[in-house]
Amino acid sequence: MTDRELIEGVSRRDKAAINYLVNNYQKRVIKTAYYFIGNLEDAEDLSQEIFLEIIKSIGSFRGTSSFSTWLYRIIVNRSINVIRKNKRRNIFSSFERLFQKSGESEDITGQEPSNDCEPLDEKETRDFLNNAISGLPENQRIAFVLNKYEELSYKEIADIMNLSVSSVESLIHRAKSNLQKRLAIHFSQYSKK
Amino acid sequence: MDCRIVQHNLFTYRENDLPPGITRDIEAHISECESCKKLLAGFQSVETLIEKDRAAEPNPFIATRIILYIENDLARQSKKRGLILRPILVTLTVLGAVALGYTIGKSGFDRIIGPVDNNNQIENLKTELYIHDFIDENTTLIINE
Repeated sequence: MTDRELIEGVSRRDKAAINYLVNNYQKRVIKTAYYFIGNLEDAEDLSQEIFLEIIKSIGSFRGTSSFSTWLYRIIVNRSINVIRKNKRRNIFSSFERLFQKSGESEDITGQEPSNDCEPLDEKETRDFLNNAISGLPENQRIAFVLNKYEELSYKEIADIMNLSVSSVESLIHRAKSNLQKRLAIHFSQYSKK
Repeated sequence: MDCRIVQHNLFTYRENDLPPGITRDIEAHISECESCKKLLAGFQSVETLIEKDRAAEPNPFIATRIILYIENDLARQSKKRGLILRPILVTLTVLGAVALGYTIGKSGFDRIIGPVDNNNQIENLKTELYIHDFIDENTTLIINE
């Protein structure tokens, strides 16, 4: 099925086209969302919303960019929205904890449920990596994740982010530089333990 | 070599994007500097984690779940649309029935007494007035006998 046939089929709400869309793009949708959110189960839940948005807004796809680029835009936007929401929730819960003064509840809310089975070192590295990446400015984070995890070219990232290639280059350079600084601080502290 | 040069070039060093001379210098420095060795080991653990994340496989049955979710949502949407459209359809049906009733009634009326023409009505009225003007009631009775 070509992209054109897929788009026409999905806009007709054709069952076969929708099945094709889900079966062929589920991995990309889930994994990209996972790279941003850092939790596979949350990414799987989010993928349902993403596919629904793709189906509902397929009429607005004008073909000025490739279908893949358009798809990435939706995934990135949705994932960023979830991160923003989580951030707001975290701020709210940290305020709540501040006023609660109960040591027990702090232990429960501070846990990362999805990474419990990982070895301690790996868990610590993951926490550091998640914090370091989520601490980057939004544009740097998007460019870095798409480049480092998705292995997209600067041109592809530029298309997705509606930026010039040189801007993307600069964003990725700054993201790496920021991460290097954090790495240096983190591992110098880690080695002192 | 200053440790900061290693810190600032971790990505480019690991991605083999540095000129060969600098790469050699960094390697020589790392082999002697304990803290840079640890930093590099930490960086490599981050790289391993990124590789692990990239290799992560979603739940193999997720497609079925997604399709079911989509079907349920689309069905809910069309149901909602039906709920909005139903009063509109009922109103249109009632209006249509009224219009149809009026048309049928009008065509039946026209078939019995002919099409309603205001000018004709006035003409008939005028004719009746003329007859009543010239023929009185008694004369009419005689004619009837």
